[in-house]
Formats: sequence, structure tokens, C-alpha cells
Amino acid sequence: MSEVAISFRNVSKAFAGRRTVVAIGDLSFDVRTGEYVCIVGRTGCGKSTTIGLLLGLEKPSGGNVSVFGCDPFRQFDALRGKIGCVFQSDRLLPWRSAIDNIRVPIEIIGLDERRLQQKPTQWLDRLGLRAFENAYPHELSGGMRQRVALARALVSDPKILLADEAFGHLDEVTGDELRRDFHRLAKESGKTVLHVTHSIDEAITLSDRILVFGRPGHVAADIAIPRVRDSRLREEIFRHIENSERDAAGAVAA
Amino acid sequence: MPGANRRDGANRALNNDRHAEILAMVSADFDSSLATEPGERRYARHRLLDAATKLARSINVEGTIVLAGVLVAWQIASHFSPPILFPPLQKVVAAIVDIFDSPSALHAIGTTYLRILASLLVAFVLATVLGIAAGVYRRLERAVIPLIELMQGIPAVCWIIFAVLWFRDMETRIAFVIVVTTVPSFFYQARDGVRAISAELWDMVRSWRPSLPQLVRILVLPALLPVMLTSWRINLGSGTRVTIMAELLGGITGIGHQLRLAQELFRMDRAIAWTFVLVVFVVVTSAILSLLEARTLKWRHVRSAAYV
Repeated sequence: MSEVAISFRNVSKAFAGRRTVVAIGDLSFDVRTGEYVCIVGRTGCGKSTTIGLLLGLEKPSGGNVSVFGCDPFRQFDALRGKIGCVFQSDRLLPWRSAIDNIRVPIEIIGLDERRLQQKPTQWLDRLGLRAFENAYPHELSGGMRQRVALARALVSDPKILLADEAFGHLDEVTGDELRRDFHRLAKESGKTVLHVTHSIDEAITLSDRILVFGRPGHVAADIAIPRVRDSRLREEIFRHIENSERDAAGAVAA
Repeated sequence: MPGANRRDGANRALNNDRHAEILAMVSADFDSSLATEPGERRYARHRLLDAATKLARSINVEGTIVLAGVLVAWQIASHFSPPILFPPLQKVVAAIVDIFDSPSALHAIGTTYLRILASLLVAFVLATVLGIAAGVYRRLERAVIPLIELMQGIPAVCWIIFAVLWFRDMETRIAFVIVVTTVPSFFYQARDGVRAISAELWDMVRSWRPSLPQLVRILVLPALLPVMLTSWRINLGSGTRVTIMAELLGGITGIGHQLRLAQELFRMDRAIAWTFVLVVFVVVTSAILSLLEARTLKWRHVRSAAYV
């Protein structure tokens, strides 16, 4: 049995403002090393907040978040270089060329580029961007920029990969290509993946397990994906999302 | 007159033949010159022509006409008024030449510009550090904002009076005045520049867990570079004005002092010549900043040209 890489135990998160917004109610789940887990759910069910908590950018209001036994918020530095993330938008630094954007994690973690298994130029090669090494982000198409973002997430060889609706905004063909690249690269290197997506089909295609989130942020269903995927699976996930929505509406009414 | 018509027709045919012959000769000559001209020379000639065309296009014809009109009007006025009001242009040119020829005048120029640049550098470092910190930490911003607003509200002339009363040393006075008058502008630019960095970029860089110096080097400073260059552009102008004013009111060296001497001696030509030096400084520094911008901000996707 592989070890637990990510663990959420009764985690809650509320954002204070003029009106307190509860993004995560009571969230508990584990992700084991090497697992590819997708999170699906409707807008506002705390999917992106979960990513923020894992990256240590948000402090949980309650409960415990743990990545390889470390609290990502309190032990911020302990997880340096262990988590890579591909965000919804490419988030490339506009003043850096493609290759220099890929180098951001290397500079921060302080890695010796010569000792890396896959150097930034090799990543560009693998993702078909070698000719655009010195191009600035505004000179690249949306798909190319997202490929650079993908290379940036992978270059430091992190143990955990997070993807926050990373391919949803691209056109179908580009999105599909990138999705396959991401899945292949993650599986090849045995990474633990937590992938947030709006697309049930994407989740079924890519993941070993699907967590269906309900509002406010809790696991409404935890579904292991069988080897042979059939159409009933999609319906089941859809039903879970609908039910969790009905439950949330009922709770508000009560 | 059929005979005359025939003669005319024959002449026209002869002219046409001659015309074609000359055209053929010219064209052959041109072709042979092209064929014999070495490639590099032809390329250099093309580049020169291109540069000349670009230069001709870049000249603001309307502005040049207005400027020339002012100079002509000035020259006409110099014939009808004493030189203290409108000195002839040749006298002004002679005064400018005199400035660049005299070591003491060059020393005055060097003194003023060293004062401006050194004081601006101090103000820039102080205000940028404070501005970045205020952009990140709300509490610090709340603590320093009243002080910055106070500094901004006090006119430069008042600061000059305070400096004269507080400090005995001339250099300290001028440096103090430049720093206090330019810190607010540098501060606001830096603070607002930090605030303008998108939360997405902050989160992306922070997700890799950088140290504070790494965060500043990788994200903050490059993001601030455009506003920093703009703030230098603004403050070079205001720094120059304040320095000249301070030198004018209480200086014994520098361009401001030279301007006061010109005023006391009723030498309008020298006053204009010194003003010319100031204008040259602003133009040169602006050109240097533009060059710096072109080199460091080439990543910017400038779309304005498309909308003009």
C-alpha cells in the first residue's frame, strides 16, 4: 500500500468580508502517492480553494491539511520544490521569455540546471516549442503559453502535480492534446496528481479516482474508476453532483 | 496644309525615336551601374536612403515652422528693442558657445547635474523601498501615508526656506530639498506598481515558495520597471526645477547661481544660454530613458500604434 501524499481532515475555510463566505465546509479525503485524482463539482464548491490550501497560499479556518506530513501553510518552506501547479490561466511572467519562464522554479528552488534530468530546453522540445524558446508570452498562442506553463510545473520534478482547470479554456483540439500530454508526463514519472476540472468526461478519461465536491466544500462522493469505463459512470457522477446541489439548497432553506 | 502636317508627323516620329533611344541609354547605364556596383555598397546606399526617408518622415513640419516663426519674430524684435529684452540670436549663440568653452561654466553644469542625479538616486531608493513595503503591508502604508501627504502638500519654496534655516551646508540644503520634494512621487509610483501586480502572478510565484529577496527579484522589480522609468522621467523634471530654484535663491555654485548672475548683470543672452543648457539636459536624459525603456521593456506588447 502506497503512502498518503495529500491528506485533508475536517478542513473548513471561510473568507471574511462584508459577508462571510464559507468556501469549504467539512472536507476530508486522502490521495496516495502515484494516484491521479480528479475533483469535479459545480462552481463555488471550493475546488480552487482546495488548491490554494494545498499550495499554502490560504490558511485553513479549521481542520488539518497535510502534504507528506507537512502543513503547507505553517511549514511553507518545508515543501519547496515538492509541488508543481498548472493554473487555469498560464500565469506566465510577461517580461520573461518562454525558456526563462520555465526557469522560475529552478531559480527559486536553487537547482543546478546542469544536473536536472530534463532541462528546460528539453521540456520545450518535448512540448514542441523549441523554436519559441526566446519568444515572449504575448508572441505565443494560448495553447503554446499553457504548454510553457506545463513545462514550468514539471521542470523541477515535483512529487505532486496540481492542475486547476488547466485545459478548460482552450479550444477542444488544443485542450485535448495538452490533456493527453499532461496525463502521459504525470504517469511516466509516477507523480501524484490532484486535478480540478469542470468536465466529467475529462475526469473519467484521466483519473484513477474522482472526488465529487458538494457545496460548501465537502466530498459528496468518492468514486474509483474501473478499468473499463462505461456510460453509466458519467450518469452516476452527474447524479452525485445534482444530489449534492439539492442537499445544499435544502440546507440553506432549512 | 498636308506638307506641314507630314513634316510635323515625321518630326514627332523622329522625336519619339530619339526619346526611346535616350531612355534605352539611360536605362542601360542604370542597369550596368547596378550590375557593377558591389552588393554591400548597394545595400549601404539602400540603408542610407531608407534612413533619410525615415528622418524626413519623423520631422514635425508644422512644429518646425512654428519654431522657426518664433525665432524670426525674436530676431525682428531684437532690432527694435534693447538687448536686455530681446538680444539678437547671434549673441545668444555666442553666449552658448562661451558656456561650453569655459571650464568654470562647465563646472557649474557638472555641479548642478551631479546634485540632481545624486539626490534623485537617494530619493528613489528610499521611496521605492518604502513604496514596495507599503504596497504589501497595509499597516505600514497607513503609518506612512500621512507623512507622505504632508511632504507632498508643502510647496518646494517652503522646503527651500526650511533647508536654509536648518542646514548650513549648501549641498545638504539642496539634497534635502530634492529628496523631500521627489519622495512622494517615487513612493506612490512604487506602491501603486506593487498593487497593480495581478493576484494570479503573486500566487504563481508564491506557490514555488520563494524567499522575500527572490520574490522581489523575480516578480516585484521587473513588474515595477515601467512605472519606475516613468517616475524617473517625471522626477528628473521636478528635480531640475527645484535644484535651479534652490541654487537661484541661495547657491554660490551651479546653473541656478549662473542664472542669478545673468539677471544681476542684465545679460538676457546669458540667461537664455543657461536655459538652453537646462533644456538640453532634459532632452538628453529623456532620450537616455527612452533608450533604456526600449532595451528593458521590449517584452511589452504595445498596441497603441494600432489604434492611432
